[in-house]
Amino acid sequence: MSEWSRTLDTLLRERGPALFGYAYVLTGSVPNAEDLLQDALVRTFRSGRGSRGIDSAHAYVKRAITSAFIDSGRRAAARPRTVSDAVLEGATAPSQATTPDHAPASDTATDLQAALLTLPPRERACVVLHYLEDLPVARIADELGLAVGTVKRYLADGVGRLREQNLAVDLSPTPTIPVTEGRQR
Amino acid sequence: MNSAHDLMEQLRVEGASRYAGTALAADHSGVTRRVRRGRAVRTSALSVAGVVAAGAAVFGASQILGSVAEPIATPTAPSGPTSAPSVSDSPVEIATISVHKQERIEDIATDLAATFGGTQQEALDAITQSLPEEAKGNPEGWVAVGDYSLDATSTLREGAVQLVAPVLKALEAAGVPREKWNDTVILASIVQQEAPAGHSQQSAVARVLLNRLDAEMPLQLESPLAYFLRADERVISDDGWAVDTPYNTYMYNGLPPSAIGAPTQEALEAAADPADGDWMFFLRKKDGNVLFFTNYEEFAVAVDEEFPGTGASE
Repeated sequence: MSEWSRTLDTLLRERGPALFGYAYVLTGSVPNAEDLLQDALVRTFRSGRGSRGIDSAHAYVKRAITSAFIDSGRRAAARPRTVSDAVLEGATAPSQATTPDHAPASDTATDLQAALLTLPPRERACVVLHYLEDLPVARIADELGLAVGTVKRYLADGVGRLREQNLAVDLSPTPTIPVTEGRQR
Repeated sequence: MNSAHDLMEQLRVEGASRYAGTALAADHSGVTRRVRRGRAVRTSALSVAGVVAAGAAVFGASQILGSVAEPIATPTAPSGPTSAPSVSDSPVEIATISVHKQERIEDIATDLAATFGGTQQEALDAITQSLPEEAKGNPEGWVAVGDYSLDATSTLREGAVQLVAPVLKALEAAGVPREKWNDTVILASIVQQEAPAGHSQQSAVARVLLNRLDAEMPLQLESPLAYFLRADERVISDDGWAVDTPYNTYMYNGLPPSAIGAPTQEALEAAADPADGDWMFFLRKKDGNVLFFTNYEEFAVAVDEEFPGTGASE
């Protein structure tokens, strides 16, 4: 067995739930999260980035989850859509929207999840990275390969849309803890 | 009111708790297969034909044996544009590593690491360990230009051994004494850069360099310095060229301490078996031709003709 596949085994055994949880917050459903995690794993290990130890592999997979998630939206938008697709998704729902699975999380969390799913992928990724991961705008921009101004706009639009839905959620800006030296990769 | 962070954290925990129930948690062989296939496909971008041929052969064999290929799709494997463009679902994996002219050993090591797993440093170490002691622990130049078709299931070390084999073979075939192996590799890599085309030119340039070394004249070449400064990747100011390094052959006599990139087989042959001649100078013209001179005056005149205004200097 080659080194990368050993790393892959360990990674999934030890960090599988954590990575899956992150993909789940982004996609809002178990099957989609599973697909996303698979894609991210393939991307990471195919490029040889998964071979530098478990922590580095973890960071790469996490980043790959985010970028694969954004790409999936881009791809879905680029793919020719059939009439039945549009009907299935409902005329107004954004292409990424999925019905959330019924979950044992609190009602507010479920509401937030439903609200998140109405956001287009990039806005959603920005919001999740900002609130869940407590990343400052500059780090989000770095993570997504976007300009800082673009991230600010996505964040503002995304948070604006969430606010419109009158959730019982505190969306005040997160207290940004200064990130210490060294990028978490 | 709950903070967005706490709520999302709840969602994450909930998601994490459902991981155990997924097909992926039970079996990730689908991922492993896609990675393997992707590695083989990606590294052989320059020789797709070879992979197709191998795939076809194996397909034929499996037809004859009447065996059924293992189904690739797991219940959760996403299909469609996310999967790698596989040319064959067969288990045969051929990884091709293409080494370009003058490619640096680190870049070759990166390719090797991407093919067999491991870090670039590990790949570099594997190449170094595969070398004879004559290489003095520096692998630069010991992997010749070419396309290497390797069995993708072999180890990093086995891959490294295959990469250095052609250079060792060329040195042995040319009858180069072992104590001259390192110098020959270094010379070949310089010849490769100074005279990119044609055996006759390359063997004559090798002769000029050897004549200068014998006469204890500095080589006065730009290519080793360009290699050291990475001038192919960034712009070096005029001052930037004046550095005190053993790669500065205007400053120091003798060969630079290592090769300066991957040589071709042709260049290795030229360095192992240089032409006969008493030239001490060569001039590479703008059209790619190379002129050879035995005395400085003729050389200086030719330089002035070819590059007016530079003054008759080397």
